[in-house]
Amino acid sequence: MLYKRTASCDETRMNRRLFIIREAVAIFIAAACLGFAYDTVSPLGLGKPTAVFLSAATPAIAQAPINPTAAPPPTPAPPQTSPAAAPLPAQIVKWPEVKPLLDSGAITLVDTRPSEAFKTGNIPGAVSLPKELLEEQLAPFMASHPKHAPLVFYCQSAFCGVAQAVAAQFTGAGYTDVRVMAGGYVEWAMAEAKDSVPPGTLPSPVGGAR
Amino acid sequence: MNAAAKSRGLAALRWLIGGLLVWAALGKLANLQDFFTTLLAYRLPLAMGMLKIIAIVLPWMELLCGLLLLAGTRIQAALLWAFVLFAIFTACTGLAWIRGLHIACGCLDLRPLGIRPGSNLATFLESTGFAFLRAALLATASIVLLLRPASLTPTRAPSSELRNLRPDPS
Repeated sequence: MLYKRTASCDETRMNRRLFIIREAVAIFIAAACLGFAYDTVSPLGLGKPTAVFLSAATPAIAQAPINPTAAPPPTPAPPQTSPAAAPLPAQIVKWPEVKPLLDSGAITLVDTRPSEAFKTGNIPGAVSLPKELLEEQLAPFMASHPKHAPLVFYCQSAFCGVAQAVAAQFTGAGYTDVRVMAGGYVEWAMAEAKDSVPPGTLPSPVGGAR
Repeated sequence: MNAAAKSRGLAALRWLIGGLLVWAALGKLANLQDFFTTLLAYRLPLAMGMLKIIAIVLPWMELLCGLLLLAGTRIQAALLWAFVLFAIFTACTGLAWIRGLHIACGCLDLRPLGIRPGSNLATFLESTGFAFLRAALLATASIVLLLRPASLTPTRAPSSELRNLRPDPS
C-alpha cells in the first residue's frame, strides 16, 4: 500500500509539472498571437515606424529636394503679426533623404528630445534643441540660423509629435525651409542597425524620451 | 509567523510582481518602437528579426503573466514565465552594466508617476545598475513564490491530479 501511495505521489508530482509546462506553453502561444496581431493592426507596430506620417506626405513633398542654395519655396510664410493664423505644416522627409544632406552639411538636423536623451544617444551631426528648454534656447538658435536656413527636426519616433510642434513654431516664426524627419530617432536607429552601427553611436535612448 | 500571515505575505508579493509586470507591459505596448530602440541599444548578439520578435512578444508575455498573477489563476505557469523573464532581464542589464553601456533599461514607463523623463530621479530609476538589482530581486521573488507549496500559491489542479488525491480504496 505504501509503495502504491509513493508511486501515486510521484505520478501526481509529474502530472502537476506537465500541467504547469502545458499552461506555460499556452501562455507563450497566446502572447505570440496577441503580439503579432497587435503589431499588424496597431499603428504603433514595428513594421510601420513612419507609415502614418509618411503616407500624409504629398508626392510633391516627397520629390522636393532640400537645397540650401535655392530660393525659398514660393509658398509664403504665415504673417507673424497674425497669431491666430495656423503655421504651415512642416514637410516630411525620410532618413535616406536626410543622410546625404547631413553628411554634406547642407542642412541643420535638430534633435528635439530631452537633453538627457540627446546626451546618451543621438544621430551624429544633430544639434540639440530640447522642447523643455525651448524658451531659453530658441532666441540664440534663431539668431544663429537665418530664416532661409534648411532645418530638419526629429524626436523619438513617428508618434512623439514634438518635432512637428517645434517645427510649427519655426514656420510660424517665418522660417521657410522647415522639415520633419517623421520616423525620428527610431527610424535612424533601425536604418543604421541594418548597416551595423559603428561603436559609440549605437542608439541608447532614455526611456520615454519624446 | 503563522500560516495565514505567511499566505497573505506571499499573496501580496504575487500581486506586487503581477502589478509590476502589467505596468511594464502597458508602457512598452504604448511605446513599442521606443522599446525596440532600447532593445537595440543592449547590443545583444541576436539577429534583427529575432529582436523584432522579442519586442513584439515580450510585452504581451508580461501582460498575460501579470494579469494571471493578479487574478490568481494559472499562478505557477505565470510565475515560471515571470522567473524566466526576470532572469533574462537580469542577465541583459548585468551585461550592459559590466560593459559600461549607459542605457535606460526601458523597463517601466515612469510618466504615470509624474516623474519627468530626463530628471535625476528618472535617470536613476532607469539606470542600468538599478535595473539590474531590481530584476535580480524580482527573479528571486518569483522563484521563491514558485517553489512554495501549492497550498500557499493556489492554482487550478488538473483533473487527473484531482483523481489521484481521492482516498485510496485499498
